[in-house]
Amino acid sequence: MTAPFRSALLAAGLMLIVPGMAAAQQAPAAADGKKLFLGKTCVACHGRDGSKAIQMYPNIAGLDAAYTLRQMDEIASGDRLSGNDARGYPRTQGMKDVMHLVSAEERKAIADWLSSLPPPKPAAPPTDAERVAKGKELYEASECVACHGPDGKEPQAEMPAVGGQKREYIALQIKEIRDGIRKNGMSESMVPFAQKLTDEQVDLVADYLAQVDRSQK
Amino acid sequence: MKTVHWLAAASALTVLVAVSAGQAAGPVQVPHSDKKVWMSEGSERDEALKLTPNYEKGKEIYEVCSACHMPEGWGLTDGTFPQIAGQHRTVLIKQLEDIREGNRDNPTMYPFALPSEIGGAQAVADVTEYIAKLPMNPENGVGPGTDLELGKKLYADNCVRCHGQNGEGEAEKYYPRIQGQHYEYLVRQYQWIKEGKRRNANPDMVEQIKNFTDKDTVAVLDYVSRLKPDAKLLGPKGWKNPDFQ
Repeated sequence: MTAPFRSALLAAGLMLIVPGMAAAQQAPAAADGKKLFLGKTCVACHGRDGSKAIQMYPNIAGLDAAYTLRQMDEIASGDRLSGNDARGYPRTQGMKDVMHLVSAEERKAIADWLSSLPPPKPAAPPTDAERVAKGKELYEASECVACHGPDGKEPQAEMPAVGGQKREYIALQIKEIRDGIRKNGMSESMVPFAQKLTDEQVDLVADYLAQVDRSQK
Repeated sequence: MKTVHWLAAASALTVLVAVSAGQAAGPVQVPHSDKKVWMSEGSERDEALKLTPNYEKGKEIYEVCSACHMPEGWGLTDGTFPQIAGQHRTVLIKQLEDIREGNRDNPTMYPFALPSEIGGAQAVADVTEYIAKLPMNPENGVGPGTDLELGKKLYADNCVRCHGQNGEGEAEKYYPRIQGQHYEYLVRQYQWIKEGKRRNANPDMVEQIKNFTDKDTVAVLDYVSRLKPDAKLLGPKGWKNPDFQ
């Protein structure tokens, strides 16, 4: 065997081994996603398993992966905006300020892992049945079902499941989308529907959605 | 703004926030302002300092802080989160209360300074006891290393008076320990103090650094980032906090 031929064989062999090694190092995205979620500060605000969020921050477990990823990217870029908290900080600012800690690949891994999780148990305290019934009426009359599905359980592709989300977060998002504060992604298409709702009606819809148990079909 | 008008607005907002958010009673919550306050009067800080701290309770509370400050309290080398292990307890209490009271702005951390998330004055006393006793990071982020002679001179002429010969600070005066701190964090805080964006700094410092150039800033903070705490304060390289494994 000539030297160049031997070198070529060796090189070819390495080329076979190295991609294999690379593939092995790309551990399943789901495992990385969990580790990243715990290690990159996400757990602090969104809670263990993305379903025990603090303050008015959303639970993010079991949502569409593309939607979740998009929110991360758009909060980071400033395309997704929000109103201010009591202190006067935009509610998305706290998250925006840490998004540089995760690369595009890492964000995808986190979003994929989160979407694989069971949906959170509805945590809203029991609201009165009348409010829930009125909220459901409004939800259906306002055509929310078209995008978010019956009871907010089965949304269209790349849309968020809103059933069982935190009450205060739902109310804030509907109002902020309605009022043009939040405009990212598909949210602008929601404006004509949300504009029909007064603040009181938004709160009723939020009461209804918050008590939906997405783990039940 | 007239004092009376400001107080009326503050009271109205307090009621509004307390009712709407259902939060535990705590410091008055008003929109953050441009007000600069080095040492707020009648602050919960004073109360927290007088209480007997409970180290074990502090460890429990610290779990939530560990998500950003890391279980070791070493923060991130890129300076996103500071090294808080081994900081003077007085300084930790002051900063936590300043964030709570709105004298220091930190949107990411703000929820975690709230009484509804971590508790009242006793909680502040407890968690700071735990943090102050954590071993420090022996491998903090440092600067470029190119202008250390200038840095050393600037430090001696401008910073020793408050931050000490070795960056050890002074607990009773609330001057922070800056030795062993991540370079990028030092840069950001220093810049914000200089610009007035960080509003709870000592006005003497703002005055002292106002004429520093960017070159001076890099040199002096690079020098500071390389000041090492006493060996007895440092943890071993790569130490993992057994309290959170």
